[in-house]
Amino acid sequence: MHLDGLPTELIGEIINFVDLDDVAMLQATSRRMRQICRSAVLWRDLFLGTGPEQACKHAALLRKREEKAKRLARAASESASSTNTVNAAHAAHAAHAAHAANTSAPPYLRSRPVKLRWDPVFENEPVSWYDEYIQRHAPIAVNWFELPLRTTSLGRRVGYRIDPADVLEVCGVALYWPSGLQRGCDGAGRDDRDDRGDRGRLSGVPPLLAVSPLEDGSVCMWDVNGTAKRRGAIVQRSAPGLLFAHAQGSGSGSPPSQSNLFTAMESVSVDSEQHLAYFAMATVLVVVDLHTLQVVGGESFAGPVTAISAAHHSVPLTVGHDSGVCLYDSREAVSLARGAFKQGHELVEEKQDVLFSVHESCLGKPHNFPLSSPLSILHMPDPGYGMLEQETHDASTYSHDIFVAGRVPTIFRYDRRYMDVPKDTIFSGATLCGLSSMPYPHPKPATGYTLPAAYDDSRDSGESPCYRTLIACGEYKSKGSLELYAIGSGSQQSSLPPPEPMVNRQTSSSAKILSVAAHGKRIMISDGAGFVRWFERDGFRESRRFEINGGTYTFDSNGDSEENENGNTDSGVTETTEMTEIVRKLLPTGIPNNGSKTDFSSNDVLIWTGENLGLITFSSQPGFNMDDFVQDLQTEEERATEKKGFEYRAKMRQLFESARYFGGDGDSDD
Amino acid sequence: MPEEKAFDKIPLQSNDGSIITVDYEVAIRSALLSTMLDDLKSMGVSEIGPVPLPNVNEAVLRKVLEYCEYHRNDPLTNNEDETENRKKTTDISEWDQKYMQVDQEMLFEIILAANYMDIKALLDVGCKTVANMIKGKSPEEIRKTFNITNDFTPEEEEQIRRENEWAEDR
Repeated sequence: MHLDGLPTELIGEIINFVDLDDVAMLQATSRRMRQICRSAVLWRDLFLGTGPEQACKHAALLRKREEKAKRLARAASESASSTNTVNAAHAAHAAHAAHAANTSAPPYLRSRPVKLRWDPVFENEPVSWYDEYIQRHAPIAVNWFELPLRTTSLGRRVGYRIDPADVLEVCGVALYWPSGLQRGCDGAGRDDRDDRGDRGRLSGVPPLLAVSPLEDGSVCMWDVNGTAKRRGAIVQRSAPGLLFAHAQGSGSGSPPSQSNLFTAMESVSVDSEQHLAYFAMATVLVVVDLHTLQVVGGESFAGPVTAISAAHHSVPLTVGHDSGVCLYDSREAVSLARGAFKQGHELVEEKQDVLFSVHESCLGKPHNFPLSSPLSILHMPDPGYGMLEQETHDASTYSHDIFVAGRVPTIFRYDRRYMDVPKDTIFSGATLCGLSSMPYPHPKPATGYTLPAAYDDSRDSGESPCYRTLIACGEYKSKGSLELYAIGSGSQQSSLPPPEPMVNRQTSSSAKILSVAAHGKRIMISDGAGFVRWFERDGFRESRRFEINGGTYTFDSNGDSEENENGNTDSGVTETTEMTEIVRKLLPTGIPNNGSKTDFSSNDVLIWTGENLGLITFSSQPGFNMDDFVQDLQTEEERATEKKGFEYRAKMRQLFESARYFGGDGDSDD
Repeated sequence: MPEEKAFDKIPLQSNDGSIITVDYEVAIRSALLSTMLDDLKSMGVSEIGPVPLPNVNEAVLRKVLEYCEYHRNDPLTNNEDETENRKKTTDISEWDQKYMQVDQEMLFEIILAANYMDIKALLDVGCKTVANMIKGKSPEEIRKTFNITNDFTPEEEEQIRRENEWAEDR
């Protein structure tokens, strides 16, 4: 008789007495244990706080971390006085861990049990409570990707660092699943052409790359989840100037200064099925085949392209430029992938493809977008998209709705089939810069999904919800604005009234919101003050925040706008960057709307600061850093110098940490 | 309460045939037996023969009854109270700790028997004991302690390690 011989429910009983950290260890022992330890009930109860035990247990976890932090801080301050390098390095490590542990338990939480009494999940929506728990409570680390260097001067360094002048700016980013989304979902059938080294590959995890245009006009790809090479490492890079050649050739004579070509905030889009990447380069849209890293298509527009939609093989790309929005037929680029590149051409009339239920007359023709150039274009998925187990990424998942926003107080709604005039408008009043969506209606602030009886019809029948939510972000009177609008679908008529629009201009952010995304069962934003924040789906209740430069965050279980700014000293964990980073773009790396799959769903979030790429992970320490990738270039001497610098920084950090820890609790009052 | 006199002594039969007779107060530590006796009482039965416990062997039954005997005067709590008050700590009283100093084989047999006979307090003590054996260990140490076979592929192991990055490293 072994532990393994006990029935599942008894092992569950035992798990009830084990700390959460131990549960994590136990589930790594065998498949059966993993299955039992991932039991939905355990993790759901943990953050729904349904029982006193759960609240106690969570509080215990935080307390434990806190004690550990105290111990480590003490150890760190002791060994800091010695000059022994090994000790100091250890102390640095400890201080780092102490920091992570310390921030995970903001002072007010210590006295307040976790009780959320809030159901963040729409009826019948698949959910991984384990992932939800991690996203909400696990420590956050920022990992920085390998810096792309100028090819001409590779290796030149100032002291032990890379010469900053050699570092190329990353001018946008999009995610690329080389094995495709659908095939990625069943974990099988990796793309044959993608035959990079198999080492370190994870079973069932589809490879994921970040695709970016660089300052020098090359296209660069990074490994995001460690399936292709190594997490955060550059996997492949095109020749410099690849994008410029075509952009300049079709431009209006004078070669534009290179950085001016990146006019669009949303300038990159990847179609993982077709292996195509679209880059907006001033007035030109350049299409690149990601297998060969060759340009296979492109089109000129009357004015600078200011935004492009996400690319999906089932629908044409929507391009926004100075004087309007129009559709770009990617089928052409696909066929051109096999032929020569023509530039500045008119769109060829092609046979109607069933997938493209588009009036040919709409393609490539600019349409009126009043007032200003669009900044964000959203293809709206159908309601309840991603809800069913068998759901795949076929054409039907995208509705005909296209939403366009940018610098004007109004969101325009177009129908893909009739692009001539906007079908509809939504008045916001704020200056908007980003759009996202979730395939469910948003809940009322006070109740979550549990109480409103209005949706009972759709709940009982288990059908798709009738409404989706358009999420918009931007600026209103120099503060952030986070806005949620219920969008009905044409095909499913509902007698139920849509939920009221939710506009949060008070507590969403003190600075302009730059990017918004759906992450797990929450909404994630980044703002101009360097914060990344998570809100519940009501757009009102903040559940977590993280400062990209400092690393502090709070957990606010009651939705009060309680501020905990005492952690925002400049003793931050990032050491290579000056403390002025902001996140311009958030890209959750989980397979979009793949709610039913939990085996390899990723909680990580790719971030773009406007210059660099990073990855937000949920772990007590970063798994990699940009410095990791330059180690090979360094000499012994340089490494020693760097170590000294590191020790110094670590020592300083400990001082801050311990000062903050032992004396810092009191100043959180506001 | 006159009817309590009805069952002074309860004979219990293990699955290997031995019969152990215990006091009523000891027997009703087991919710299973307590319910059964209540039922019999309401049916007017006053004499019973050996109660068969097909899932428990003699050694385990003796061990379980040792616990019941020691705790015979503890207040009996009903189930709802119990879940409310059940302390989620792994503190175990001194006597219980000593009682639980048995080999793993016996430990799990006790847990199974406590579960079958519905002795909540004993089940908790058993589970706490196992929980204490898990605490602070690395996955490999847990496997060694409990003889768990690692049936993960190396890829799965790497994956789960990554998924568990949020927790403490050991």
